[in-house]
Amino acid sequence: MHIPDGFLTPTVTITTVTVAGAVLANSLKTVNASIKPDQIPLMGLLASFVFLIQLFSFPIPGGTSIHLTGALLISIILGPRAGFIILTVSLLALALLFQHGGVFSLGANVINMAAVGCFVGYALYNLIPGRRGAIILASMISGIVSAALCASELALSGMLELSAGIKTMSFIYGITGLIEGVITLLILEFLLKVKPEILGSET
Amino acid sequence: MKHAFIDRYAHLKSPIHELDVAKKLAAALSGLFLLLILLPLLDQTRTMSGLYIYSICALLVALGSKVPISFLLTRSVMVLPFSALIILVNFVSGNFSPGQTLEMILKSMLSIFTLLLLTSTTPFHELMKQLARWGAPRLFIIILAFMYRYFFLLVGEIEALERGIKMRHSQVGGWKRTQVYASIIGMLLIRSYERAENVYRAMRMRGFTGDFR
Repeated sequence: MHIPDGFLTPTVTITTVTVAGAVLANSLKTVNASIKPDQIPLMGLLASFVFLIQLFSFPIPGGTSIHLTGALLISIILGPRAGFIILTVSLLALALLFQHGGVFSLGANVINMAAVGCFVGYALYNLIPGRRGAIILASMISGIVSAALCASELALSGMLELSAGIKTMSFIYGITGLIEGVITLLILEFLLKVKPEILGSET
Repeated sequence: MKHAFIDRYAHLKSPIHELDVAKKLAAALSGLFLLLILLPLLDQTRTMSGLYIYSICALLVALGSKVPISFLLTRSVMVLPFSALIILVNFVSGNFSPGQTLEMILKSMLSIFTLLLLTSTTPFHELMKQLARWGAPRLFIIILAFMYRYFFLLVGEIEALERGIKMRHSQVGGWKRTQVYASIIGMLLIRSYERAENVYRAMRMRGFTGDFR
């Protein structure tokens, strides 16, 4: 899902980098204006946390494993804008230090994973009634949306045939999104039991 | 505990390591620009010859940097599973073209190779400093720096949590196992949160008032 460098055409690369850059600049501006001093180290530590859980593969029943993105989890804790900044930092570090995804394709990856996961995921979480169902559905739908975007970017670059790409990738990432939703729910239930005040630190 | 695996070759001594960070970062970014924006605009035979020439230059720089070539090459082929996914989808839908596939694989391997050369000849904190000097947003760089600083500590914590769980109940399977891992992650989140509170207290004591611009 992390698109490496070399898969996107120059046009798609430049467009996605511009869009992602604009969203990032806007989020930084908003968060900068309202951030409280104690939230600066908190955002840093949570970025470290997100970076780590993205590297940590999670065993799921059935013998396979997936890794979490943490997008919805962080957005619920800190709000979607701070969540988006944290996810972007983590994607940059993954590209530079672990070669997951590229630097020029970062624009596309930031849109697909950070922006969709945080903004679309969080909006759905608020729209859908009922907390449990909302978490699972929001995570699953944002998984499908980001897979469809990823497939479209690759198709625009002539890498995939559009409908085949969208069908295959949405199916795979719909399932991963569903699993991430269930795990996010388990983590949030654990937090509510052990340290509920964490859930009230939105920027 | 030893966790210096991220930029482990960044402290070697070589002419490339001693180059100015700004020059290295600019060179790596121009290399990527050439590979990913300029070369693809040419026709396919010229793109391919461009890619071959680029590989030779990249190999020469790598030899000069004393970073083990085997390390650079094994990390560069990590892109192949992703390529395999694309090739598979194309095979299924009948759109497979060998020439385009080769170009794609070569381009992405060379991009990774270029970035690896940069990160294995420059310590990560130097790269962050240079980005800040070029005007990257302060909040972004601060979060990146915090992330890098505390990543190693959190790795240590997750190892301790996993060890504790292994000691207490040796083997659980299925749904229970998923729940156990979810609580490890939840616990890690709580510890990160509490560490952030302590870090903030320490920062305040040293005069931090929230002004980082």
